[in-house]
Amino acid sequence: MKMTVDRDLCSGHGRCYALAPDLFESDDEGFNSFRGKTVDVASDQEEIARRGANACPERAISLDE
Amino acid sequence: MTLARPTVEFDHHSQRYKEHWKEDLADIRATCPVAWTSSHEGFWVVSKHADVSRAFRDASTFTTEHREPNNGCSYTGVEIPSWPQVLIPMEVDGPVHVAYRRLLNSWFSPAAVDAMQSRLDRFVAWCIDRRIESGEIDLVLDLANPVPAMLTMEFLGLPVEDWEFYAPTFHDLVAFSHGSDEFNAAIENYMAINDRLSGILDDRRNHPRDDHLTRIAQFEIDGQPLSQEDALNVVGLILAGGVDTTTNLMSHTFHYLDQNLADRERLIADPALFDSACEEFLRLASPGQVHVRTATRDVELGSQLVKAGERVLLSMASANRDEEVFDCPDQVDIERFPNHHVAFGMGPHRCVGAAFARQMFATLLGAVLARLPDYELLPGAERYAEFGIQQGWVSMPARFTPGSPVGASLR
Repeated sequence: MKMTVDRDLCSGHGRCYALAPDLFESDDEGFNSFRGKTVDVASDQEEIARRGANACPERAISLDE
Repeated sequence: MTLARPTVEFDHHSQRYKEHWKEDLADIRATCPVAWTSSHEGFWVVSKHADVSRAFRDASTFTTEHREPNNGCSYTGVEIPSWPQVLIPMEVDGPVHVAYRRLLNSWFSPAAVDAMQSRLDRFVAWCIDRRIESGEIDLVLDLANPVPAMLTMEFLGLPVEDWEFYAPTFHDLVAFSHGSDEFNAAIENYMAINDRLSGILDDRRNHPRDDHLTRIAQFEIDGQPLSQEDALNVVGLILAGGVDTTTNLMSHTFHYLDQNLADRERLIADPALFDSACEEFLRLASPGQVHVRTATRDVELGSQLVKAGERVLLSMASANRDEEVFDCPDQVDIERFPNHHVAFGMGPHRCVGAAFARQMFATLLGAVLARLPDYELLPGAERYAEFGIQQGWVSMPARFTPGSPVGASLR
């Protein structure tokens, strides 16, 4: 699974890293640290990736399954 | 041919809104989701989640900008009627807004929130200690109003012991209607607070400390230090943004859990539910009821043509009950997920203090459920005079089985 965090949509609500701290981290300003990037998601983290993506009110996290 | 714009009767400061906001907003959502009202010199009411979200995100089309002096333009910020002070950086847009947020975001990051936890625990414990042996507490005046004030003051670098000077003023400014005796008294106190803060900012420039007041006093944009007025406006926004909003999140929570003991038991049994419960109470309380924008160009919104310069009121209270987004929107579901409420806004002006608000929710609820788990509201809880800015309670007296102080101190 690949995960992209849209640089412009991510506004730093922080729901992703609040709910899935094993996968998502905050940067110094409160944005998703993967903001503007596409990363691979390990198979045992796919479920929390979906949960984090679902939690984002800006729909900034997209998953390519 | 010019299509007449649909008009509605709508005034968020009216008694009608206070008593019938839920059904009136549902009606607007169903019949004309973007509609014009002639109240307060006229503005658009935006009621659907999709349109409110879009307007929040498109800050260049729907600007928060507030120009003082105004010279007759309609760029009058995020409130109707407009507040005489420019709230910085909420009411600026563009590169200056970006510069401010770059400074402020890190002050409100998860790391900053974690660093505040032990002090927040102490403030909460101290407030409860004052009442724990009596068996009576006012959940607003003794707890939900003081604690956010204390945290915000500590955050800035103001002496926490002065909370009684600051907390009631921010409460009263939104609790009472313009023109009332209580509101006028609160305005006088607010001006006294501004005078005091002005002196403190001057002191920080001469005697810098490792605190945010010093950083605000020394902040520069494009190499220019902030004017005293701008610096005061930044401090004012942090105080206004942090204090009464969180109070109202908590008062709605305490009120609901007084009426729904089953959910209270669930939260006592499983604190892991606090996270989703917080989002649900944010959704239903919508501590910020409305936020206003000015259209910078002609734009289509919800099938209506909004003209450049027109004022656009985004109803978070309505968006958070949008039937197209939330199943059974008027029902409390403390496990609701996902919960894409707009209580903190969206996009570039997303509430910078959201993480602190959530932390205060968890800490305050945890302490109340641990130390006064059988609290029961007494008659006499007083609602705000009107709901145009916040829907809150002036007071919320309660009783509980007395306990023992833990000996917390404010310092």
